[in-house]
Formats: sequence, C-alpha cells, structure tokens
Amino acid sequence: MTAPTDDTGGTGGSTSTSADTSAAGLAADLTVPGRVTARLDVAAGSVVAVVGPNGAGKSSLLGALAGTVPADGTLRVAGRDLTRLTVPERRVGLVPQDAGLFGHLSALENVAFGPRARGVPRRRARAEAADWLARLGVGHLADRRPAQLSGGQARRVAVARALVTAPDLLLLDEPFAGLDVTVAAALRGELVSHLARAAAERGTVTLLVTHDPVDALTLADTVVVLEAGRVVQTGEPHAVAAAPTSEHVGRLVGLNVVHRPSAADGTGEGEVLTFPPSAVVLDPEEPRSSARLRWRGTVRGVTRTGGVVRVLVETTDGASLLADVTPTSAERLLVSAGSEIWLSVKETAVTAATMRP
Amino acid sequence: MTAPVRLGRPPVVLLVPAVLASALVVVPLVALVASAPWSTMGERLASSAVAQALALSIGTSLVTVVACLLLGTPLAWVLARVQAPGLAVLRALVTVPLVLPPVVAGVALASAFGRTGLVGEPLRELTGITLPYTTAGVVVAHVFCSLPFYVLSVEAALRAAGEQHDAVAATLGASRWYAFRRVLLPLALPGIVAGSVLAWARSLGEFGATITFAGNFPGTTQTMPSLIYVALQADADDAKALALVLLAVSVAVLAGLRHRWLDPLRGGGR
Amino acid sequence: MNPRSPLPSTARTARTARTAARLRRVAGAACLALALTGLAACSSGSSSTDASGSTDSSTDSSSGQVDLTILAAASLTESFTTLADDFEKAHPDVHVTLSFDSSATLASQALDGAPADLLATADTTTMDSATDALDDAPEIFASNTLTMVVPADNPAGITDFADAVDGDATYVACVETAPCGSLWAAISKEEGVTSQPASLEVDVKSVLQKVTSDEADAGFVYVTDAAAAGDAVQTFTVPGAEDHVTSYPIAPLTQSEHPTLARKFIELVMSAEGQKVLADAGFSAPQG
Repeated sequence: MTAPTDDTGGTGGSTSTSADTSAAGLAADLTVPGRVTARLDVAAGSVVAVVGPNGAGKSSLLGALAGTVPADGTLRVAGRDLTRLTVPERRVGLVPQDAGLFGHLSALENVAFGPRARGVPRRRARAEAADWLARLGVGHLADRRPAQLSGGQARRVAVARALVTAPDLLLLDEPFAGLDVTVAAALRGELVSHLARAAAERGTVTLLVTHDPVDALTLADTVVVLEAGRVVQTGEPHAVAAAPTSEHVGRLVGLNVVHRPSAADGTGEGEVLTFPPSAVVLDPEEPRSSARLRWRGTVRGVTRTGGVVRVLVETTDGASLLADVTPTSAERLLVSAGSEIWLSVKETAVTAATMRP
Repeated sequence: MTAPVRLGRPPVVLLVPAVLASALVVVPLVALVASAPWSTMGERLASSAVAQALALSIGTSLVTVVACLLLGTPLAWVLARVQAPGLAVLRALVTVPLVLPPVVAGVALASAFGRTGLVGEPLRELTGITLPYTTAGVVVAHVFCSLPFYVLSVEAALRAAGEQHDAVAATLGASRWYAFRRVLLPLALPGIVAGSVLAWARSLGEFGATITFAGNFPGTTQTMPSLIYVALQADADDAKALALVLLAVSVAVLAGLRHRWLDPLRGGGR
Repeated sequence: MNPRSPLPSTARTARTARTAARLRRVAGAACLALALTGLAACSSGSSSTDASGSTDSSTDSSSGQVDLTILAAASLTESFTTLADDFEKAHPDVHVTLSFDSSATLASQALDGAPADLLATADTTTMDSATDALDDAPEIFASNTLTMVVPADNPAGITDFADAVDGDATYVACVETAPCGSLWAAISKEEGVTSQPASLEVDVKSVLQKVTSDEADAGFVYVTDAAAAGDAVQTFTVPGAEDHVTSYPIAPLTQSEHPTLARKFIELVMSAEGQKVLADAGFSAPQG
C-alpha cells in the first residue's frame, strides 16, 4: 500500500485521497524550546520554502515536523493528528542535507529500505525502488554504493527513497546545497514536476529548507521566513521578495532592509524600509544633501562585478548595508575594506511598509 | 603506481618519538624470540599441560568474544543512543576494568561471584552452580576485563554512524530494532570487528583476574598466561618457549585478519 | 570515572587543588613520567617495604646513611621486618630496605644484577639457581613445614587432613613449581591422596588468600603463614609434614656494596636473638 505507482490509490485508512486534500494539508503549531516557535497552516499539495539565516531554527522546525526533535504543540497532516505519533507512524519523508544515504546499501537497496521496513515483500520493494530510481533519472545507478555517487546523484536517490514511501509530508533540508550550479538547476527543474505529481496524486505537502531565493521562487508556492526562532514573514514568493521585512531575505533578493521605529523616541515596531543598493550614495564626509536617511559606517567588503562595484558597509548601529557605485566613484572615494564612510539614500527610492503586528 | 603526494619531509619531532615507540615495542619481542631455547623447544612444549592450556586459552578467548558480541553490542547501543539519568555514570563504570589492576578485578569478581559472594552465594544455594575453579569462571573473568575494550570501540562506531541515520530510517517506517539490525549494525561493523579483536587479544593475555578468581588447574582453569607464570617460577626457558607459542598464535590470527578485516582499524573506521 | 591509579603522592596532592580536567592531565603526565623513569612502579607482585616504617624514599643519600637492601621470600615478611628493625637499632647509620616477592622472582632479579646486598629464599632450589650472583656459600637459617588451614568458621566442617582430601571439600594447594607445592606433591603422594585440588596457586600467599576469603574449604600453607593469619584461619596438622621441610638459605650477593654489613646481618639472623624472632613467626630451626 505504500506504492505510489499503485493505481488503486491508498488502501490504508490513513491515506488521503485527492477528494479530501482541500480539507487536509498541514496545520502545525510547534515550539522547540529555546530554538523555534512556528505556526504553519498550508493547503494540501503546497510546497513551502523555509528561509532564514543560520541559527534561525530552520532545522529544528524540520526535526519537530519529522518528530526527531522533541517539540511542544500540535501537528496535523492530511487530516491526521501526528502530535503523539512516533516517527515511523507519521508518514513523513525526510531528505537530509547531505542526502543521508545508508553507506552500506546500494542505491536500489536504499530506496527499497522504506517499503521493506513497512513489510512489503522483497521482490516488490525492489521493483518499486527500481521504478522510482528510473523516475528520478538514476535507474542506471541502482547497484552503486553511495560513495560511488556524485552529490547530485545521491540527492536524487535520497528523494526517490523518501517518495517511494508515499509520505503525507515531505521534508527537504537544503536539497541543493553544495551542488554544482548546473546540477542544482537540473535537479530543481525535475523536482518541480515530482513535487507537483505527488501533490496532485496524494496531496503531499512539501517543506524545503533553503537559503537560495531561487529555490523559493521556482519551487515554492509559500515562503516562510524564520528569524531568531520566530516566523517574521509568510507569503507568496514574489510578494515576500518584493517587500522583504528582514535583512536576511532582503539580502537574498538583493535589497537593503532597514527597520525604522514608529515613535520618535525609538520605540515601537514601526516601518520596514527597503531600497536597492543602487539608490545608496557614498560620501567621504557627512553629506550636506537633503537626504534624511544617513548612516556612518565601516567598509567591510568591496566586490567588482561587471561595471558595478558593490560595497558592503557595517553601520555604527550594527546594520549591514549594500551600496552599488561606479568604478570611477569607488576610486575617487578611495573605498577599501576598513575605511570609514557615510551612506545616504533619498526617501523617494525607499519602499516603506508597516510591520505586521 | 602514482607518485606520492609531496607535502614535504616528515618532521623530525614526529619521526624520532615514532622510532623510539617502535623500538620500545619491537625490541622486547625480538629479544624474546632471540633468547628462546630453540634447540630444546620440542621437548619443552611436548607436555600435555601445554596443549591443554593452549586449547583452553583459545576456547575461552573465543567464547569471550561471543559473549562480548551478544552482551556488549546492546550495551554499546544503549550508551550511544539512550538518554537517561545515570547512563553517564554507567559508562564510567563500564570503563573501570580498563584501569583496574587485574588482581583487584579478580578480588572484585570473587566478592560478586565467589562461593560466598553477593551473587555467588544465592546462585550456589539455588542452583548448586559455582564459578570459581571452573572454565565458566575463567570466561566470566575474561569478559569482565575484555568488555570495556569492546563496548568503547562499538559505542564510538555507533556514534560515528550518526543519529541522522536513525532519524531517516525512522521516517522510512523502520522500528528501532529494524533500524539497528539493518542500518546501525552494518555501519558499525568496522568498530565491532575492531572491538572483537581488542577483546579477544585482552582475553588471550588475561592473567591476573583469572588466576585470582578462577584459580589455576590444568585443563579447567589454567590458561596459557597462567601456565607461563607458573613456568617462570621454575624455569625461565620453559616460560619463554610457552610465551613464543602465545606470541605465534596472536601474530598468526592478527596477520590473518588484517587484510580482510583490520583495514578499518588502520583507516580510522568509516 | 576516577581510577585508583598508583599515583605518586605529589599527584595526589594536586587532586585537591585543581579541577578535574586539570587532574586528568596531571595524572597522565605522572603516568608518563613513571613509565619514562623506570618500570619499577609497574611491576606486579613485588612489594617493597620500608623496614623503618617511614614513608621516606629508600635511597636517602642526603642523610649520609648506608642503605642495605635485602631480597627476601614473601614468607619472611613478618620475621625479617622485625630483624631489620633490630639491625637498624644496632647500627643507627644503616637503613635496611626489604623487597619481598616469590623466591624464583627474587633469584632471577639477583641474577639480573638487582642492586641488593642479600638474598634469602624459601628453598634451596631457587637459591641454587642464583649461584652465579652469590658472593659466598648460602647458609640455612630456618626451615618451614606444611600445615592445613580452613576458614575461621570452617564452612565445610572439616575435622582433619583425610576429611579435607577425601570428601567433597574444595581445597587448594601450591603449584608444584613453587616450594610449597613441591612439599604438597610429596606429601599427597605419600599419603595416597587421589583427589585433586580445585586450584594450584602460584604461591603460598594466594593459597592463604583463597582460604581467608572463603573461596576454598581448605588450603595447604606453611606453618608460618598460618601463624601470620592468626584468627582468620583454623589450623590442622598434615600427616608426615615433619618429614618434608623446606630450608631457607641466605647469602650475600656479588653486587653488594656493603659486604661487611651484609655479613653482619647474616650473623644477626643466625644468632640466638635472630633465631628467636624466626621461631616466634613459626619457623623451625635449620635442619640438614
């Protein structure tokens, strides 16, 4: 009954069918003490990208959903309450960051492991595994050991291993990390269709942890931004990219993000200001311009890309801002790592959004 | 053959101690072989006591390894995977036999499993079984001394195998027992082999705890090391001849295992 | 984990003053230092007793004292400790160091040039094996005979020798290569003993230990060991024991740096005073 190729569909009572996917999906309200607190509510078949800086709690959230990290709260997936279930009972597929293949088993045996553990007879388990390897384009590598696979091939085997068990929830931890750019692009393209198929067939919810905005934009229909153990923004990928409220996402999409307190005394959540690096003006001394937004800071990095010099500045109040200048002005300003500099930006170039309460 | 990677000359600060260390180990072994009474070797080893002691040593050391496999592997798993108060203390206690003088180990064993011991007395009253002066007692002493080597080795291997594999196996529907058998055990195999070899070697050379707890009688409790010690009291050349036999057995087994099984020992275990 | 390692006292004082992590390093360094400076601390079975009872190092050269070192059989522990005290009282500038071990071990140490002045063994065979290291012919100064001991509460209810070796009792003796074992072998043959000991211990102290710890119903030890054990054991005579005695010889060693003093110690042992100390410990007068 774990065979996704089985056209009779789910024979087990717990398996969701396409008819009830709209009512199912993922509803989580989980807290890993000291690590992360998150509420997620997404429809069946959704692909959720979880982004955020290192230490934001992404992996803890993933572990809490899988059941491998102790968490408080509730978790419902595909109409089932998973809160008190053990990991094997949850029907969650996990693809760890480095694929996590069992080194002593061949690719085929890795994929057949899930069905075998659930009691599927050996021959059928191997047939299913071979089928899934072929679907992910690695059917010819069935007899190889993980050590003989490239990074991209190993990820494909790991994805096949997770999908063969027909999970209600698929968790991908940095699925493209460490892969060659072209390999990542190819895998990303294929993953789109596999995730879409799983979503259509079974209403599988996919949750992928990533630090690459391209992943979020191409794979996900919902982006969840985690920062310091909290969800700071949720929305459709394009909406989040257009109006980031966190420095991390801003940096991901190439925008500067600054928080401006509402009250004059510096209290309150206030507004989030976003502006592109090209709108930032550099000056060796405090600018006499009318610009209200100005900071003093220290240059932390200078990168030349094409006709643009991108300067990373750490301001005196601790923020990191990007500025794009021409090579000529960079030379004129004697910009180099460690030099003191002033930044300013015109109010007209800034997008202001009120912070969510 | 491809050319070796040229990272530079091995530093003298490492080479000199390495040579000293090798000499410290090799010279006594060479001296033992060189000073052995080769001309009279045959007659010295022709006694039935030697054959009995050798058979007993090989037999008890193999049973010890089996006992370590059956008892030590689960213990190593518990120490590596279960989180419970007191396990840190248990781990420390399990390693104590490593530092315990073997004679003290023998006294401790007698206090526990001796005729009037904590466990030994009720055991004798209920079943009539006594361990001292029996081959079973020899095995108990050997397991006591060998188990720490085995458990430490296997626990390290299980930890190296990583909890991520446990997590992945669980998401795939594997029970802990299934994951242990199909994932952890195979992945920890190099550590299990290494631990078994260490336990076997410790058992083969074990002397103090055995003679203190199980005694010394030809055929039942007199192992090769006991026989060598006894011989040393009478005729050092006899002792050397016997020691050579033990040395030959160990070298033969270790060399025989090396190519197939001990590579992980040298490679750091993957 | 807190191993009871035989650390030198300096390392033990450090224990109170420093953290556990630090201690581990100190202990490691101490063990390394021990290993480098000599393997004496690692050798098993030997016990070096300071006759004066103080904990000073045995070679205290700064005090200007003369150090007399005696290798003595383990069964001489009590009597030679007393004799060493007496000797030091008579010669205030002399410090006597005693090293007790099995006779065979001591004989081979003497042959290997161990820095000692005298060798006293529990039988003539082991003394003969050390002939090359002897500076003078050995003198017999005492003899010892076999006796049977049972635990103080006599769990097997043993009534005599025959009861111990004919019944179901578990008894232990010395291995034949040890002097106490050769006596046992001779007597058991003469008495027609058909049963076997449960264990052939490597030395007489091990036999006694098996009995005092209740691990054996009976054991065959020297009269002197039975005397030293006191109330911990009950003693039974062994038939024919008086016909099988082991003689204790003593001799000066060629490597001795104090031959005159060594000679004087032998004289003390052979004197009426010395013989009384030995008799008090249970030894018989020299025979043969």
